[in-house]
Amino acid sequence: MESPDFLGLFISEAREHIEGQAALLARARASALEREEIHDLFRHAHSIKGMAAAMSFPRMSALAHAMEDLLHLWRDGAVTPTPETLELLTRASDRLSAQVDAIAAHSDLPGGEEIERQIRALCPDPMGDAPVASTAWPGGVGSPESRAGGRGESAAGQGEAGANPMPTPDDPRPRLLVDIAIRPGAPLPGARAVVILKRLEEHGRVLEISPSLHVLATGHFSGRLRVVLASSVAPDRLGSIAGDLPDVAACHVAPAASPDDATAEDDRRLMQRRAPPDRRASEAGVPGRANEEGRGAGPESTGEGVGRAEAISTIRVATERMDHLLDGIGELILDRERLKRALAPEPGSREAEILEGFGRTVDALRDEVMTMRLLPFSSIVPRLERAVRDLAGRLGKDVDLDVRGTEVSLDRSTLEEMIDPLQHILRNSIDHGLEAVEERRTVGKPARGRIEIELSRRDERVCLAVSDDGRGMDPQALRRVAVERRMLSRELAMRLSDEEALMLVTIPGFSTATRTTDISGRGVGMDVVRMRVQKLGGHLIIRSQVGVGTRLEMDLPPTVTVTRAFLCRAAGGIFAVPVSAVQATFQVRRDSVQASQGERVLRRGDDLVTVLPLGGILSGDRAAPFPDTFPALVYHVGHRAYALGVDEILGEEPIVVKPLRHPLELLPQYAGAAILNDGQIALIVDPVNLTRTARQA
Amino acid sequence: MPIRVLVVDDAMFMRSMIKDILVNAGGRYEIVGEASNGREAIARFRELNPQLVTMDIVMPQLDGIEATREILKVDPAAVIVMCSAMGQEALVVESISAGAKDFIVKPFTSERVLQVLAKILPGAGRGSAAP
Repeated sequence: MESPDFLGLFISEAREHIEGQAALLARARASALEREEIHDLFRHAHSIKGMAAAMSFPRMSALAHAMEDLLHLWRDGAVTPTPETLELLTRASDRLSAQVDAIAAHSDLPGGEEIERQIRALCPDPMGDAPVASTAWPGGVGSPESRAGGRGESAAGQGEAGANPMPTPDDPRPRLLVDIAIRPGAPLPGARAVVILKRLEEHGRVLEISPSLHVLATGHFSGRLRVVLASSVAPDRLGSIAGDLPDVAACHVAPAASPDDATAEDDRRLMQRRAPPDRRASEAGVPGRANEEGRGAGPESTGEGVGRAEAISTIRVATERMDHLLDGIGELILDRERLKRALAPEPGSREAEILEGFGRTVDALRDEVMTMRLLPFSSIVPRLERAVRDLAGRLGKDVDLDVRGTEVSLDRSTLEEMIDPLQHILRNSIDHGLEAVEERRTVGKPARGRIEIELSRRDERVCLAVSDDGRGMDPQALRRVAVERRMLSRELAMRLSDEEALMLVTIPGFSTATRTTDISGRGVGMDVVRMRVQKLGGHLIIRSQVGVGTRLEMDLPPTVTVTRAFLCRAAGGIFAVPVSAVQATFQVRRDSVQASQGERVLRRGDDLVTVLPLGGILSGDRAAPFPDTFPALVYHVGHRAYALGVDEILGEEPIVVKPLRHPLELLPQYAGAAILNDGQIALIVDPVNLTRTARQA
Repeated sequence: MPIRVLVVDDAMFMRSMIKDILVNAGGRYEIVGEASNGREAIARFRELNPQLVTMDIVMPQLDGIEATREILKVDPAAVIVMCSAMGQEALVVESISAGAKDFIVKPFTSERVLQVLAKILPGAGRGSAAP
């Protein structure tokens, strides 16, 4: 017995639909959509409506329903969207998103009644529940026109008259009048009536029905159905057959003396036989469903072959299970190393060969899972666009968001974790970075502010940059605030490079200080942003030019969790340094190191390399004397080269990265922890942040 | 012998709901396959020859009404039940006229779904909806 997590499924699938919607609406604002795209928009709203109803979220379902109806009219050309329409639909989509967020957070759903009302106001035919009918029923349930102004009857009659002469009422069997009441409150009573008609047809020939099929199909059916049937089934028997159908509240069958007996209502007409499909289709005038001729060349001609291939080419897997898979592979990788150590096979031996094959398989498996977890950045773009729209609207600023390189992929968890920080950054840009419209005009900038998100691959990393063309930040002002707030001594503050001074906004508490004095025009939550980026194994760099704008650069590892690291001994412990952070390792001779401007440097090729002792930094004694020779790991921060001196490099190994728990996560020099083969825990050193710490100390 | 069912809906969420209802109906139903669009539904129908198809109407690629027509060409005796949302009366009417046997309306309730199915599938046992 399975008990699926409906709520989880609902949330994730609803989000997919909402994001699909948002993407299409964004495109619609730029250029007219293809009919297929409008249909997709409709379909998204439709699916959300159904799902929300199934989960008993009536407010959400009602809002999606209104959207669905408007989109239906748009798709069928009955309304032409204006920018205001698109804006309204976008707001509705945003509201749906907020509702899903509230559902996920177990909080109260924000209402959408006002938006719903506005959408309904745009529908030219506000006939309650019924979307404009587009059925191909031969009775000609037709265009909106056929419903309006009482012309339904004639429009309905037309198609059939030509196709199929009235069924001749000369059936020799007795005529029965079947009078049926549909249970009040039954869903889709009109459709229920049609099902009943079909069932009755199995037992005789339907000669007349009241009300008309047109009424049944357009949601205006009151619940009372009368049918004249030519049938040799006994009235009692027919009564119990019909009475047993779902949603039939009452049924009465009696002999009908003449056709006129059943014609009390003016709305009556003869039940029509079904016309051949091609004819019905062309009458219905519903593209996509109708053009039988076009089918040979259409997608359907590729037929079942394609359908089958699609049926098995993708499956959906809960992300949690992917995480388990990755964890398992991480452990497998560690097992391989343990095995290698335990067996210590002779090179070239059979054991070595087997281990090597095992290793290759595990690596391939790891790469496969890593790739499976990758998602393009585009998958979170709609949320960012929504954030920008929201904030810009609320703050009364005009902002263009340009996102480039959206095809660059990142691990799913990294992407999810980056949504919040990116929203923080966008908020800062819009709230503090971008000037008000008048101010922009005064300084000769375009009235519309501009925010650019750019993604690029750089070696093994992904570079994510967010820039705005706002007022920028002044490093000098930041230094001054830091001193005023007694966060730094004057001397230290003056020693900070401009880049380091800009990083001051990422110190917890600094942002509030700058906000009150309103000097930086930036800083809310930047400490949170930096911490998150670091936790993901990335770094944050801030560049800014006063009056020109600010650019935040983050480099992130595209995949997570398993990484290769140098295991090093220093200060009596073992530390792991990710291989991806290190350019080279080499032996340092003490006599090659010179003092220069308070730092110890050596020349390596053309580079002047600053030597930092890992043990010394960690123990707070940076000036501790070096041994005669020691190994070092070379890395860069910006353009400067550093050599991290250690006591011993134990080797290069794959490690499973475990995040640090509070309060260790507050230490920027560590990127996490790894559990080693012997069960020891090694802190993973982040050389870049370690260097910053060392330089600020 | 349980009744072999093909569940067609583009939303996995909806498929799960129907599946949940059917597998908890005292062993009367067996889900033999799923499809997420009309084309897939036709292919799966040919392959699995299920005794019952629950068919969503609005789906990408090929909608449930067309799929119903195509399946009935393959097997005129196919039993197809449409899964409809509220406000889709016209589409349901069209589906029924295309040959679908009945319909169920979202949001689904177990009782309701089993009742409708029991009435169109004499072998499914009458009136014995799962608690």
